[in-house]
Amino acid sequence: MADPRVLLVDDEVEFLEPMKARIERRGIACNTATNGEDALRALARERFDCAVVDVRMPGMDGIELLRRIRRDFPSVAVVLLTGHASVELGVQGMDLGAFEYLLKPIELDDLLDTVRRAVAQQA
Amino acid sequence: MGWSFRRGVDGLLARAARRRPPAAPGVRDAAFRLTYERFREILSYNDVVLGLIADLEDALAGRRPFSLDVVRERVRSVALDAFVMVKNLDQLAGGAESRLYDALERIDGEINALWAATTERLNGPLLVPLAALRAGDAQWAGTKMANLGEVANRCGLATPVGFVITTVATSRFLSENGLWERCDRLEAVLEEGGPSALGQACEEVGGAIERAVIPAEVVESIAAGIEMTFGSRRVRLAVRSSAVGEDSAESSHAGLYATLLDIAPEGLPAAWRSVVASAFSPVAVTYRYERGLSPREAQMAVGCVEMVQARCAGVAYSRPPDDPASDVVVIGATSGAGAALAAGETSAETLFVVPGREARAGGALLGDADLRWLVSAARGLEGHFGSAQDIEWAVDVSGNRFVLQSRPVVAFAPPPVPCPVTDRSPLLAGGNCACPGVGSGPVFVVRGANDLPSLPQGGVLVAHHSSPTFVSVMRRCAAIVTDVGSPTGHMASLAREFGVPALVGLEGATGKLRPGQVVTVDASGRRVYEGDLPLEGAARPIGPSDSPALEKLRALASFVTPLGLTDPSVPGFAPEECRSLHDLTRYVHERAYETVFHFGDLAREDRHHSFKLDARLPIVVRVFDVGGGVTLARSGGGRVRVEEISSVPFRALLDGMLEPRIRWDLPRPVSVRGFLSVLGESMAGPPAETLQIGRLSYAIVSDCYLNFSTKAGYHFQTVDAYCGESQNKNYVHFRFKGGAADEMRRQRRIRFVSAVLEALDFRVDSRSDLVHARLDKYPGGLIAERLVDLGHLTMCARQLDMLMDADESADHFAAAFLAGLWERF
Repeated sequence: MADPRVLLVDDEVEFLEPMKARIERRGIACNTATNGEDALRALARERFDCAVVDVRMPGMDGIELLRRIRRDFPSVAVVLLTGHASVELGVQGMDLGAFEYLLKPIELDDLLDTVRRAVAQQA
Repeated sequence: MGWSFRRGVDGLLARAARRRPPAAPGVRDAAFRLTYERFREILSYNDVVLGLIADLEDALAGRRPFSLDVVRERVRSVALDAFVMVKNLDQLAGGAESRLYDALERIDGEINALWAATTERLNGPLLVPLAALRAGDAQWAGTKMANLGEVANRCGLATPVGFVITTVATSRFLSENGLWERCDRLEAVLEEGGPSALGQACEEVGGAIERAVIPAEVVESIAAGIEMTFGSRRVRLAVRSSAVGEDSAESSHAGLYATLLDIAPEGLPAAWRSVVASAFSPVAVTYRYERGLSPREAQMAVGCVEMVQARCAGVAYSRPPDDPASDVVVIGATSGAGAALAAGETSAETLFVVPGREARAGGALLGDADLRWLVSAARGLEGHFGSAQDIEWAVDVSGNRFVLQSRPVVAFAPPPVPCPVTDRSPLLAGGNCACPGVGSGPVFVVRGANDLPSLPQGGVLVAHHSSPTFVSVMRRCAAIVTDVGSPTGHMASLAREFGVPALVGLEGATGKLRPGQVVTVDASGRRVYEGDLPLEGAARPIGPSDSPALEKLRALASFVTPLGLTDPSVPGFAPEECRSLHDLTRYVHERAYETVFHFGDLAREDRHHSFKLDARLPIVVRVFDVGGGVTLARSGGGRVRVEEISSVPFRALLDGMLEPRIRWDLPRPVSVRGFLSVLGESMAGPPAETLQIGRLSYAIVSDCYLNFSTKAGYHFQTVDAYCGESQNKNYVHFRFKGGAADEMRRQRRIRFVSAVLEALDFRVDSRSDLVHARLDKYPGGLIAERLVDLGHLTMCARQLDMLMDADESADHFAAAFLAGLWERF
């Protein structure tokens, strides 16, 4: 199996950049996008195994992005990540085929575990 | 037994350390581990949910105070935990449990709908003239002003002119300045930091409110209201709180919020802001906390009415509060304005007037015509509102009579305890009964609000004058006695609300009653006796019997605590039948075990199967290995011997359970009474737990992990433990839930289990019929020793409640257990 490649999507740059750096330090290739449109463009351009998507983003929100990824890039596992969790959003996300629904703050190890599982499952 | 425990554990620990999982586990192993982790997550969230359920039950039973906002936050987070449980189960089951999402959404929706009714109102009028108000406008105008509007517009009684600045204005003000969150937090501060922390926090919040900018639209509305109501007249205003729910029959809030008098119109915006701030004073926050009212629910409107230049003012009760059936109107009067009277700071003239015989009532302040008007107003308002009324009134210097407010009389909740007949002569006699009843305890003299926190549980509060600040101790004091004060004052209303026997206006009380002296206060008989006279009947229940918040809590709890899904073997054990978060987690918990069970069946390799434990035990144990918990000497399976268990924690627990000196197989000295009590309770209604888990016990094990659940005797217990090299990961988590036996025996059993666990260094939290004990971050050897102890406990506690004949037996058995005297069990 090729090395897993992860796309991080979050409008909070102060979350995005440190997380990318820490993931890369663990030897996993990682790209970032700060909104849904950029994320879809990145997915069209390169191969990714897993997208970690923040639920609350201005413009296209994480749920809509999840819907599009499942439709247009079905081989990409989507992990939803949110700091403003609600049962409703969680159920919606899982219904739409998210691989996992995680709550912020999250330990890097736990996130990486989930990413590895997502990749393993897609393989 | 050939296995030396200590050496055995060390050996296993060392082996476990050598046999670390490979660095890059294959997909199958990853999936297998994932199952185990999801399963473990379900179990841990299950405990969190059960903790909330126990807390809600305690709050409902009045065993602990609660704040609706804190409950709301916890329910929200527990609903999310339930979501994670559902998600994990559905993932474990490969999508076969997705119907649970619908059940969760349904329950979550019902809970949210319940809250939606109480969320802040941001739309609506900012100011409403009194002339336009009716009783039904309480949501905007607050209860006090809505009722006053009813008095003015529907009852034909004169009131001062004025208007109300609505709850909408308060909401916008607090929202625009971002103050809600800070206000909301005060109850949590009280809960966590106690009264001393609250004072500081309230000062900060109050200061922030006083400094906050009043929205321009509110300032403009106030100016327009003044212009419209008073024209160019130079008036002085009385500015008073009118919170939603304030002055209702269930919760008076009597005297807790600020009233500002003699305010010039140009000073009104600032005065309004001060009254709003008074909703967050320590005494107001404490009161709401004690009554379980949320700040957002007790929303503040502010009434502004023209000051009456009073010659004489006071209160009137359409019926005596301590004798609602009698045909008497109670009138309290004082010369000048009435505020000092209501605050309890001065004695007043109290008249008991029989309608039709006003002339006989006497009194120096009021003429017959005034009395007749008061009696007719009081009874008229009682008729209009349909319950006995507590009225504030004033007669101005020109003789015009006004009703200033009318609210239901706060009736005392518990029936008064009759005072024992005694030959003893009282220490003191006289005064007025503010709340009937009898209470005894040591005297505690309160000279100022700062003394209140030191008042001991069950103390008799003695003070010079009565004060609404006493509300903070009304739950824990046995009685209240004051030198000065009126039975028609605010404190009296609060005392009746909380059911605290109170005797006010008892001259010389602070002089005569010595601190620490034990006295019995017979408030109904207006006497104080030396010593603790034996009381007939039960002690008064702690806290108010009912409140709007309790009703809300009950409604909320109906979606959280009831357990309807008890028997997994019937068709009704299905997601569609889940009515509460308890049902839901119960379902997930049960299915999670089943799923793990089936996962074992599906797996190809032997080690993925479950085994029946071959051991001399009175229970059947099925063992699931999730990684290195079993070392099979032979292939195939079905059964596993104790020696083949390589799970360190399970081996330790079994070592305790198999202690040969615990003779569970011999008939024990069963007390007949105990046995009958167990039978009786079972027949009255089988406790849910006895039906919940089948006869089987389950052990889910890995090399370092154990989750063992069993129904031993009449209780259900879970041991969850991790015992490895890394001290920080190690823990033992023990949960014990009783069943059968009567309440008394259950409590003794809980006491026994708690006493033993505390002696073994566990952090113990016992609530209702549930004991939670934790031991975290201990070295592996010590964790294993404690698991041996829990093994002993599992066997010894099996049917212990049958032996628990007396209160001391709990301590007696705990001591015997700790001394290793197994033959006693």
